Amino acid sequence: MTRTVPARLGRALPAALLIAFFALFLAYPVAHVFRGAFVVDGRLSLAAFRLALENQVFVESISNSLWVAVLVTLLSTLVSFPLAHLFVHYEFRGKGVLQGLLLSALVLPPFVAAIGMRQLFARFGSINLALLELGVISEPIDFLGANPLAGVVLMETLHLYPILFLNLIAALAGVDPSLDEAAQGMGAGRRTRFRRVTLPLVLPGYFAGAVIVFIFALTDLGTPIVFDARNMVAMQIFERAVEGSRDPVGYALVLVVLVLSLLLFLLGRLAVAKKSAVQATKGTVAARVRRVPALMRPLLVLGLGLLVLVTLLPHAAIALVAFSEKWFFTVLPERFSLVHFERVLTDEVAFLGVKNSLIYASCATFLDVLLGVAIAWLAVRRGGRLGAALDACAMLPLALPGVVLAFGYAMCYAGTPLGEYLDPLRDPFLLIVIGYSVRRLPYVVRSADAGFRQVPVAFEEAARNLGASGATTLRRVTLPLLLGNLLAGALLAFSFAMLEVSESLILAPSKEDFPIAKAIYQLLGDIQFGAQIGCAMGVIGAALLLYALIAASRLLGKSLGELFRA
Amino acid sequence: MTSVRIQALSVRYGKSTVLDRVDLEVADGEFFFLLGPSGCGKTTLLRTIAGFVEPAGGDVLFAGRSVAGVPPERRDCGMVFQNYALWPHLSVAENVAFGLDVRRIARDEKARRVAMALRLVRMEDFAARAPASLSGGQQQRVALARALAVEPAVLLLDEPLSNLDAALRVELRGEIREIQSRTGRTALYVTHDRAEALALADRVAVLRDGRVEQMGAPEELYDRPATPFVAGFVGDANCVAGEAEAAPCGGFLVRGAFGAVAARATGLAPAAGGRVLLVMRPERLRLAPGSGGAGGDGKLAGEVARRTFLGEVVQHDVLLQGGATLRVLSLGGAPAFPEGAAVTVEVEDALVFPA
Repeated sequence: MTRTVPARLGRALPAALLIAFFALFLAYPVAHVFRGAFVVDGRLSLAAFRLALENQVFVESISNSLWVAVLVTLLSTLVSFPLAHLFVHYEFRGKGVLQGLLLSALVLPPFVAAIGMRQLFARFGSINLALLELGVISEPIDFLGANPLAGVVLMETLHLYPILFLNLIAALAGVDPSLDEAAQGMGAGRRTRFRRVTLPLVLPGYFAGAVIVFIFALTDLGTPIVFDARNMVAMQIFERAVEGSRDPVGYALVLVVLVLSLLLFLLGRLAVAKKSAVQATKGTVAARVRRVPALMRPLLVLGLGLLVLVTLLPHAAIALVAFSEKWFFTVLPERFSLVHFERVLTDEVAFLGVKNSLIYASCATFLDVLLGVAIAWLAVRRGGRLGAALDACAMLPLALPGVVLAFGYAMCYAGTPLGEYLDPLRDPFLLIVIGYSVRRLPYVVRSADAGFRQVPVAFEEAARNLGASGATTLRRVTLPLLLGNLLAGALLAFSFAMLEVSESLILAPSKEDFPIAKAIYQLLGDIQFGAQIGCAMGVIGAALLLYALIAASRLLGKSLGELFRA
Repeated sequence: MTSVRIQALSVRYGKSTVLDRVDLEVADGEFFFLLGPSGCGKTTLLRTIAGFVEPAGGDVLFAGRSVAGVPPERRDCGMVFQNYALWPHLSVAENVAFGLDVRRIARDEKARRVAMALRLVRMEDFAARAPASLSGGQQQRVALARALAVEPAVLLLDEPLSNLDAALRVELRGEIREIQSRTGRTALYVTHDRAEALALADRVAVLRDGRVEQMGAPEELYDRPATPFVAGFVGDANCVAGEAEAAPCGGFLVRGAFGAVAARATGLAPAAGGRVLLVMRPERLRLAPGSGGAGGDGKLAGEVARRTFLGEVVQHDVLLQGGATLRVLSLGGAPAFPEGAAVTVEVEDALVFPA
């Protein structure tokens, strides 16, 4: 069968461009890290790893970060399991409002939240001052100085447990009640049923969420940087990247983090693969919903109230800081005003940060939509191994910590022919845009993928049949039908890019290129009202993200839990 | 106006052969049916004609010209999809206008042809509606209008009525027949519903396992099926095993435990003395009271095992000697027999095939 040359090109070109993109911006930086760690003085060697093991700071950083990740995952599990059980199987008043409040933790990046918390828990922060006034203590307690890791664990848990909660809700709701009833019919007690039936069915969904939580906690840069917890892997990588240090020992550390994340991610994927087999039996019967026994109600109100309070504490803190005109040595601010929001517009660093982030995030989102549509089209409509491989490449950034990718980007192109465009020291624009888009690509690919699956092939065939070319079909039939999905993916990509931390901190060395995160970081240390202006920017960002999440889940018509999993 | 010729067409998906050297010829303006059970390859054949499936071998010719390698959008065949495939983001009129837009038809002419197509399917009052707000039958009408609006050389219909309820199917199939004969367009219609095929078709090809089992006018397929499969697929059939012996005038006499029946061979002629399959249509059997009349001349003795009232007809399941059961359909008003009654089955017509 003969096909015209343009038709063949039209089929091969998108795939070729995508392969080139992933080779250049995913494989090459990763390969660069491998080479940097294994090639010492031009020879293949494990010396860097030996030196890294002898480096006290590195060993401590890895151990600290692992502990933090384990604790965060554990705490998130402890909070979210009973919570998800309660939400799926019990009916009580205010459930919807409560769920909204708990999920609002997602919209406040821990980087920003930590700034607010610092204000509350500092030596002369609100908590200490309140305790002093009440006469509970006579000397201020050094909450943060004593153990900065505790602060990091708390902040990250507060930010991440909703992800686990959403995954567990989806998993529990997906368990066909008749499976449980069948076990009951055979005489199994409540505990046996949970252990032998419910738990095995829920575990894959739990793992999918837990892996995301673990990798995030392991490699988060924003929280440690605000609490000044220097001995953590992300901080070490950050410092090396900013110095531009080509010391193989640093590469070895980056590699360890990278391999760890990849392995965990693969584990998560395996769990999900198993899950899809389990979900083939998805029930048509809704889960049974019980009322909370009267005796338990006060306990429930108390527990949930406490949880909401703790969850919203950072929100309250940054809002207080942002809206306070002045706040020194008092429990609550003396006066409230919008002056810091005005300063976001007048302060050079803040304004440039917002402007730059808008440009970076817009370009990155545009790139994401292009890439996402092409990849999803190849994966869903063309199928085959190539489509699956490209899809896997697009999802890989979920496993690629921001600090690792940013480190690779900062190092790998300088000195190559591409250095002119892709060296942060010369012009960070392209690197930041590409970095943002690669890390957010999974959201866009997932939503475009879902879109293509919802649009029956017959819709496209009908257009071809009536005389429309492939391009016309895409423009007039497929894309309009994908619009909702694309919008949702783009919104998520855009808002996460606006508040992105690791790449922003590493890839923008000079003030005129700062995105929001780096501007906030700069403001914190720099000027008198830095923290306030930073928090004001945080409030704006959180509001944007909140809107994006709500809009995206409406557009996609699916639960938020499905947006956050391995 | 275009004739369609299929020459030795083969289609393979991976290792499985879906179509195996199929030959067909559809005349200009003919209403041609592809009939067969699911998995027989009929939809694949239609999709190959439309250009959505690339054949592994053979050729498709429109008006004598090969369309091999011609992409679907340049084949000029309007297709009606099983699930309608109406675009939900376009109104009824926009759906119908799509093919005209693509062909860059001028605005006035386009409006005229959209209106005409919608009038043809009696949907002119629904032009501004969204497809989702229409019933299944209305959606099917719009899908038909959309395919007809471009005045295609060939009209392809892929089980267009299979998602509708029985009464609507009968109503719509009449309309489709009417529209086809009025437009005079060559049309290929895929279905697994023999009633649709027999009622509408000029000619029918019965497909089985990727091959054409028999091709012909509906009456021919019904009266002169070439194989027991065709006999059973285009109508109800009682099948009983027996042994054949040649009879005068090219006929056969089939003997078995049930007795003896004269039968005609419409497919391969059985060998004398060989094992054969005797095929009898339920409506070509008559019941008479008592088993006394049974003899060697197509009168079989039996006992009514079950009587089922079906409205316009009554069905008697008659247990013959030797254990075979015959289904007998009699029009209402013919004598009915209670279960357990001894009866004689008079065979008016029977077919014989080599077993």
